[in-house]
Amino acid sequence: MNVTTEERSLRRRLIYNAMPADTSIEIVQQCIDILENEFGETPDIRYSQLVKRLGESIGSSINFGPVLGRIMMLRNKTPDDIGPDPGVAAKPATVSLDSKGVVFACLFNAICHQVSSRGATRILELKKHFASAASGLDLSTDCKESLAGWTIGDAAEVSFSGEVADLQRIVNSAFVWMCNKFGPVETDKILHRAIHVAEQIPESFEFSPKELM
Amino acid sequence: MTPETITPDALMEMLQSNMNVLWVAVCAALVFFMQAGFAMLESGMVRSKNSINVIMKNYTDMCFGALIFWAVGYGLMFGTSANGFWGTDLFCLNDGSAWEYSVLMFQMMFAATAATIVSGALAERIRFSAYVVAAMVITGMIYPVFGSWCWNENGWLNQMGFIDFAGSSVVHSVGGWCALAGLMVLGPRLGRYGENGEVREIGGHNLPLVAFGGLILWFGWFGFNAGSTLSADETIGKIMLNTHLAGSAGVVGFVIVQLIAGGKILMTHTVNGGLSGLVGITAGCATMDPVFAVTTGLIAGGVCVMATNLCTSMKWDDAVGAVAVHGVCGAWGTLAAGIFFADDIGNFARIQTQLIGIGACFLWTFPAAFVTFKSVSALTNLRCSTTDEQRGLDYSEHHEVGYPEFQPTLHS
Repeated sequence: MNVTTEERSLRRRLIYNAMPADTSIEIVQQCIDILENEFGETPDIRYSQLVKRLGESIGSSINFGPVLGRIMMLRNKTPDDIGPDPGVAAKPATVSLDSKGVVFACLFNAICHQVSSRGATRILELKKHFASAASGLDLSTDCKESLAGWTIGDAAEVSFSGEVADLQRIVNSAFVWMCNKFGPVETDKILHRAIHVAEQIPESFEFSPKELM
Repeated sequence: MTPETITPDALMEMLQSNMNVLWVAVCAALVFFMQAGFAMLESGMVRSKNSINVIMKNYTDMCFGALIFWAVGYGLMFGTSANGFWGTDLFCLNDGSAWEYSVLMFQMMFAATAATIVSGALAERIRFSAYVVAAMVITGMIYPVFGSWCWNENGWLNQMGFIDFAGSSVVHSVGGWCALAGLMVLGPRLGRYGENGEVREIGGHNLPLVAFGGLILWFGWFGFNAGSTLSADETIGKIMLNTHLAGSAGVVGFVIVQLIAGGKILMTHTVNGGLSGLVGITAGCATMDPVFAVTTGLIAGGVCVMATNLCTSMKWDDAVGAVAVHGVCGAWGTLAAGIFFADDIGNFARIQTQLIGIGACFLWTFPAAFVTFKSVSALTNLRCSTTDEQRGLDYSEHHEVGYPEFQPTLHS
């Protein structure tokens, strides 16, 4: 019996949302990879076995006892109540974006490039920020999942869209993080440059990047 | 009286009375013009995306404050005060004498000054409507109650012999301590202080505007101090001289302290040095000899430097230095008025009285303002959202920006 797409999504949701909030993105990705690669085709998964395997692989940096407990609690909830599905991060984006999405991607990626230029680990810190902050941003489910997928993936660039209000919240959350890291003056400069870059693409005639600020 | 029956003495009295009214009216206009100075200085000290919001706060706290001071504040301050703590009549003055109207107008400008001191300190993150409410409480209650203690005939500090001729404490320290309370409730601007405690400078967008604003304030201060005689008499010249000497000495004092400390001589801080000298002399401008006006100003300039550094180290994010210039230097000026009293230098009893007044000012103003800001915060959002702080309060609060062609993140 094949494992359905819905079941795969449910399993990823359980693992992703049962992990402690301060877990590094690399470890979360490692757990998802183990789930997909070693248990992906298992019809009746035993989460105790999965958690034991995760503990063997990850080591003692994570206490997986409470993780198993949370999985057991979350299992009884609906998928949406469990939390977002991070997706399989290595999968490239195949969704074509509208003008809004292209502009957002250009704007946000310009921000990310400037963040990266300010330190080798900065982009990881930004992703970690969104991994913990996303649940409090009042985003739509799709946007939250897309953002979650970006946070645990290797890609530095985003390639998703959403409602304007959601995208504004994402930009603002990045603004707050950058203010704390780089200061408000430097952050304003980053946004100014990102706007300038995004205004160079043809899609900006249909959707202004300033609408995302 | 008819021209045939009027005596020379009565004529002189009438002339003097009219000149007093004229003098007070002109000085009221000069103090009003200080609002332009405050608006320019504060607007220039903030980022361009908040320039209009600062001016709106200045504009409206003056106007709302004027009405509430006429309605309530003037009576609390100058009405019949049986207990020595607040007045009980002269509210909504509508049947006053010509002289009473002149004094009301003059005092109204002082009340507006006290309120507008707060606007600069809290710039770039306080919600406009919340600020207006707080400003009304300041001009309607906090400022006039303390003012009644000092300037009401029966005020308890006045009865003790407390000296604050033009308001180092009554206006400037009250404004400064209100600003401090607001800073503590509001918190700093996003990113002002780093994770490791480092301080990030947020420069103003128009420093020439800051300088012009400072000069306008200086100009208005001649009316602020000399007008407090409430009389067109011979003391005006000395008061204006002391005012100018102290302001100049404030700049010199600041420069000297910065040179000794090895710091940069920033234009914005130099302007604040001058203002600190002007604030410092405000209490004793009529009771000091010029040499001590210079002394007061020199020390005020140095005090301003140290107070500014203290505020920074305490992470009190004061966008314009209002706490240091007006709060701390106002206290120094009040003390100096007691120390350097003409022909009676260093009178300990007088110094003691000044210290009581300085303490009373802080102990009344700071908690009252703190409760005010906390109450406003509980009833509505005192602080703007992070989105508004990102966009700038010009657009967020007023849908109007100061420099639309030069703000690239502006909504189209």
